[in-house]
Amino acid sequence: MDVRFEHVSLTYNRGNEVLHDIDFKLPDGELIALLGPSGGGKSTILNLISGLLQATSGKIYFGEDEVTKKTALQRGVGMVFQNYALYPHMSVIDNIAFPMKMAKVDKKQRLTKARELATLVRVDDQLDKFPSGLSGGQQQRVAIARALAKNPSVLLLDEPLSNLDARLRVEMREEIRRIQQETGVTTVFVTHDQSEAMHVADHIMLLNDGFIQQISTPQSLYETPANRFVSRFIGDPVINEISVNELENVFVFPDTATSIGIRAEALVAANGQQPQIKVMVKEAQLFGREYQVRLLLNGHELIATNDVQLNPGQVGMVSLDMSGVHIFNEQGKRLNKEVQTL
Amino acid sequence: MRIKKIAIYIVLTIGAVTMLLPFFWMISTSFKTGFESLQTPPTWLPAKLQWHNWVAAWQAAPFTTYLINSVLVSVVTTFGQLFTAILASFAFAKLNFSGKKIIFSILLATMMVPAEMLIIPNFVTLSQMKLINTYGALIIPWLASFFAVFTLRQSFMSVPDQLYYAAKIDGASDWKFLWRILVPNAKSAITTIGLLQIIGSWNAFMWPLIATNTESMRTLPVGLQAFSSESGISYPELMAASTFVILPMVILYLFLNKYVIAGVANGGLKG
Repeated sequence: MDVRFEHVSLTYNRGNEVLHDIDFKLPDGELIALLGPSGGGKSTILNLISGLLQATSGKIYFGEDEVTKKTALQRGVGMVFQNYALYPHMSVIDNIAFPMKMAKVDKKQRLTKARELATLVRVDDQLDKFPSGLSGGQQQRVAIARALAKNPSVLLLDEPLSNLDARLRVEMREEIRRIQQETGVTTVFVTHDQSEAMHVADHIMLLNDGFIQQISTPQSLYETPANRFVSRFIGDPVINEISVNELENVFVFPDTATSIGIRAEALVAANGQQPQIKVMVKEAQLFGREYQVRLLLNGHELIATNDVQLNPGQVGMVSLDMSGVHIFNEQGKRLNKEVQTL
Repeated sequence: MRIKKIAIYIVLTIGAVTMLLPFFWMISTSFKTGFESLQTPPTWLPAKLQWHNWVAAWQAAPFTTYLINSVLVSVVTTFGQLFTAILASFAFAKLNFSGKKIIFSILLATMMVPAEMLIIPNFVTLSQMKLINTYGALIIPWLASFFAVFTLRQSFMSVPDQLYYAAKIDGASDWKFLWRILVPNAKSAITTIGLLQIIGSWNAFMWPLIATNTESMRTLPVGLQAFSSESGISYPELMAASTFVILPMVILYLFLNKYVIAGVANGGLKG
């Protein structure tokens, strides 16, 4: 089911508006990440989709149905909470079957369905255990199975991976991807971790301060950030940012341009074809397979991840791969099309 | 280290003996003759076991009637109080309504009113309702207790709100969430409150004495008065009767004490 917001705003009782006139459409059957720093509004949007929060103004549609005033139950959403919210006094199978029990599904049928879901999320060998006897990853799986138990219109996951350790996080994000693809249910998950969103989502909605910064595929979010915020938030290491004044001898900038962002991998060994800048190599380090060079451009530090073929202490030229160079105006809007190389 | 351990054991032993001595004295006295019970210096154990004290004690008053009354009153007040407390504490712990804080503060303030002060207003109210000397008088004033609400609210608040939202999404109404999720997770707190109430109700003396005036309405503790008369108190029989009066509560406590200890020691729910 696709999810559509039309001019949705949310103001809390105390009068502070947390979402400002939000408009978007989440395509049916996709895995969508709501990404952003804390306080950006991503959990708020998730709760508006779920029906646990009611919008102050605007309309919300599931497919053709307007659901703005409907409760969570009427909307038929499935939800996985940050700390899983499994019922501590019920076994795994009873937890999974609980939504069906509430929907008065006949006992035999709901147990069969609960077992199928347990198999789907791979906890079928834990059916009689209680949540306190499960690992974090297993609890997560049970929570997903429970959310899927009533064939939800939309599956919502609130920071599903934040309570897991690093290795398990990678494993579970792949699992979420697999389960989403096997069931085909439109899935929205909240995260503050850009690499998590980049790895599993079909589309990413990046939010900051209650405004949508950009909605696009992970790749285009990275390659064509709509503004400075997006370019800073996406990518590791963080994009190198310097004032346009430092590169006036290299580019002809539009009058409004104020800053330039250069991706770490856009700094490459001098090749004569692309625009070049003169830098001094401060230090070069190798972390496992990751290479990192710190360069100085008029005293400003730039981080590069390619071998620029210069030794530490050496001054020389490096080339800029223009696909990783973004120009922004004072408001942070990206202006790339208007830039020329000298 | 060793000395510390010995000291701890000495203190614990003194505590245990202090607690158990009255019970020992009660049982020991119940088997003495009237003369021996008042002898100085007192004897620890009866010279000869006087079993007939027990028979005489049971026959001295209509204890079967008292027993039925006590059981009825204790059970009904305990379940009634748990029911109202569960509903009220759910509202205070998980629902949002206007005036919640004010109502809670007012109710909290009522806890500072000594129970003795309530005897007269309660008596007046019930007598105007023509309920004096009925089960109504023994039960109605105890159907709600803010102490129970307050204790249970703490326990309900320790159940994460996310469980409430999860249950909402899973299709549970507030009522179903309360009975299927919240109550099972607050089992030890509920058992503790229930047990405290049943003991309190079982042992209640002052109110049943005031609110009833015929033998058919008396409860066990009031019935123990049968042994004190103008000619003095028959201690062996009184002690025999006291023993069988407290026995049901002792047994109940022995069965449920692990819940009580868990309920007092923590909020109950493992995070």
